[in-house]
Amino acid sequence: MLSSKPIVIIGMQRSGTSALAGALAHLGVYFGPDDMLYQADANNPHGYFEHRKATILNLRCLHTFQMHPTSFGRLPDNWKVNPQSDSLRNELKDYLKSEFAHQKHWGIKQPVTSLVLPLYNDVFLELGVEPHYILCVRSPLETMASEAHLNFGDSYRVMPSLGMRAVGSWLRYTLGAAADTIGHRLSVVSYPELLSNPAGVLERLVNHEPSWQPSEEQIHKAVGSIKPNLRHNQVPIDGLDEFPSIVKQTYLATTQFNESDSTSRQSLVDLHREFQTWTDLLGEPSPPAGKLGLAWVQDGKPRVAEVAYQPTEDWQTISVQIDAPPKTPLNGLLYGPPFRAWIRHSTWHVGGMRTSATLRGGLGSQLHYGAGLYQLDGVFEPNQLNVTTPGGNGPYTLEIEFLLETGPIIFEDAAANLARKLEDCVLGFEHLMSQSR
Amino acid sequence: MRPSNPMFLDDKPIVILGMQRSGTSAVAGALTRLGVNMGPDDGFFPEDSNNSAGYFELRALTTFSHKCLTFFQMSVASTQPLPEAWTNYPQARILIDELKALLKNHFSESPLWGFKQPIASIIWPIYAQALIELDLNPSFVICVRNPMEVMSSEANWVYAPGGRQLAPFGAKAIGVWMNYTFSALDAAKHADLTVVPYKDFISNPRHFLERIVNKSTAWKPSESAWETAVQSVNPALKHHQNGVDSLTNAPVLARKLLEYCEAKPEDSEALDNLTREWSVWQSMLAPQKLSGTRIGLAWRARGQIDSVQIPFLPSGDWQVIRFEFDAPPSTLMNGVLYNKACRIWIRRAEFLTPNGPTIAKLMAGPGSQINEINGIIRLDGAYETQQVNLVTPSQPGPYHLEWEILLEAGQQISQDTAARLADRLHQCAARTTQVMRQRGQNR
Repeated sequence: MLSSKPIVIIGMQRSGTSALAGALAHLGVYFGPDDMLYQADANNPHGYFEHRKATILNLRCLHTFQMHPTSFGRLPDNWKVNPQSDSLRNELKDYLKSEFAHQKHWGIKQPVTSLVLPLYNDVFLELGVEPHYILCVRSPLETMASEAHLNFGDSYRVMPSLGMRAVGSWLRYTLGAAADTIGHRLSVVSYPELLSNPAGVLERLVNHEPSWQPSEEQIHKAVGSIKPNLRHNQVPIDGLDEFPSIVKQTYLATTQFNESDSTSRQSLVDLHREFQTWTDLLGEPSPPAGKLGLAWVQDGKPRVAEVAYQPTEDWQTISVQIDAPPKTPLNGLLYGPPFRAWIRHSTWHVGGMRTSATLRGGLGSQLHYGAGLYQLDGVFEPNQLNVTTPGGNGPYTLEIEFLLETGPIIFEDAAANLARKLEDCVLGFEHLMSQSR
Repeated sequence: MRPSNPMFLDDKPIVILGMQRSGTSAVAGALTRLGVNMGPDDGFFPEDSNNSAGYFELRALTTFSHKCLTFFQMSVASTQPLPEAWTNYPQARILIDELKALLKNHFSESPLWGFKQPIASIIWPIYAQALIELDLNPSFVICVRNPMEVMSSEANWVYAPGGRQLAPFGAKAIGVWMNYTFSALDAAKHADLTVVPYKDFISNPRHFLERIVNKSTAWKPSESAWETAVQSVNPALKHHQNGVDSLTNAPVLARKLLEYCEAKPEDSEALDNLTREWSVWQSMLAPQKLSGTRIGLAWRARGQIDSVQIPFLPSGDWQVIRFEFDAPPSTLMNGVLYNKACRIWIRRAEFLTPNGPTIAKLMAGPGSQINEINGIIRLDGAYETQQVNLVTPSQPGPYHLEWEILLEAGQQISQDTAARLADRLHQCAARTTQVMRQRGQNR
């Protein structure tokens, strides 16, 4: 049984999310068992209070939708049509139920949550949970400076310093979080306020929940856990004047946020709309047009049937007329660049009858079937997709209902998978040749 | 007046820039009637339903521009500039030399010439370098049209096979338009410039053509040439006329840019302020930089596998990486320089020995490939255990191995790598099948 009012801390990394989570932990908010929380290090000497499962889930969600922790994009409005969305929802439900059942006060702190809030909102709704979102805000110039000074110790820096991109990322985390929490309680905690008046901030948050009555000792420890010397990399607010006005407007709108004033929230929504216009204009173009083309040999001559289409990033149905003899193998392409296609049905229409079309993948592509869906991870090869015309005289119409995904992560995965397959093939060939010696 | 340029009869070409569908073809067509050589008729894209009066765009130059885009993993819809260190990329010199040859081949003997090349707007630094090396001082004509009209015009584009192709921009058109327009204006900074707003040009072509012509005292078109030039601008092109109010839902910066171009194109301070804001947006929303990894080399010694690894964070420019390890002499080593599909230029790979440097001869794994271009090795690397292979020197170690590399990765490289790997996989499978068949026949 999940307590219905968790605290969910959101906002960009290096904005005080860990400091706030640590203080709330002293007030009785449970973030998870110690062995599942990331350990303290030089970058966060008092700990992260960040659950590994939340991090893994959030990163998997980003990966599913071709995003990463510094992406500017959002989950598509139709994210639930993606066949992988159920797995993500189930994983989140399992995490919440297994980690937080029977906890009176519990919370999640994982900054990337800011980017995948539609997933959390959907699952919270199903579980009858009403989150209290707390958005941590710090000057983007300070988060930029803090991020640039991250200490990786004996490890190595996997991601380069964000530089100016940190400000764009800050807008995404801050405004996106404000927009995606509409309909839910939202509090904003500014970093300077947290450090200068932790007692006031914590009292404001606690007062939202009448049943939450921390002891004096808990309050004392919580306030004591906020160290004023946490504020390194201070940058005057005037520095924001060097950026487009939306940056300073966002900072002021968040640091002056009034929870009980709806215009305060609306300001952030309007700023988010402006930011989203920019990310749309400077973002990736829509996927290029595709063409389903199938070829076969008839009477010694190559024949082709094809139909062009534009990927819609949603389920779509295309049909192609094929005038080939019965039981003829056809091979072809569904899409040029590397892609993943979920195929809900593939059907032959012939003479008013319908029959299922069994699909086969090519050598470099991967075709799996499960839970009523084909998953085709396709690459550019002549027999990316293979199918055989049915019995009975044609002509035939092949109809395919599919959802096509493509993007940088799919490109990288396709290249990596092909490299592995090629290595295996080469090893197999060398072994074959060595047998003859 | 004969110029002092030994390579070109006319050292002040007219360069027409600006986004596609902004009147660049109409201006180019009019200027050819006024005597400007934009190229041979059979070198242009043929007229079609999208441009019934013709494009006046040299195919060879467009092909070149597309090559530039591909080499730097850009597209016609890019909203980011060339990489910061682009001049250090080996492909830069290849491209600059190619453009110089192209321009000399087409225009060196022309007394009055120019070119119209919208794509050049977003890769101008490459063109600029070539023109500098050819000692040419272009004057610029920048065509500007309301981006809502550009988007509408582009949405009606008919894609005919073999004809001029234009990628659909959709809702991104305004962002692309800002990039083309800001880039073109930056290209023309400190140069002769005529900004040609589309709606004004269609209404009064002679006004703008005179401004262009009057920049040269020697250029005196005949009155019949003027008449032909003005008549070539079809007033029926005046469709989709939108005012700046049509940009209500666009960023304020887009409206300010259009207002600037249509009203005050000589106010350099105003332009600097707008350009600064645009640059900051580009920086804030720049693509993710390349991630770091550990570079590793492995070898077999005394019956076990040894290895050496160092952290590596690609910088987007030339970098020196150093390994220190103790492996047996004349030992095959294989390794991974990057954990994703990549293109690595290798300017130097040497074992530093007490007797002096010894070149490390590199070999590629089955999924990767090595070519040498202008003395620089190019490794197209797949993410495989033997991405690169080399052999330790015959002298005993320990060894210092030093590489000087420039690493590129990105969507285009990933796609190209996947296509190459798929092809090789098919070849490997075919060879395997062939051997197995032969063995089956031999039994």
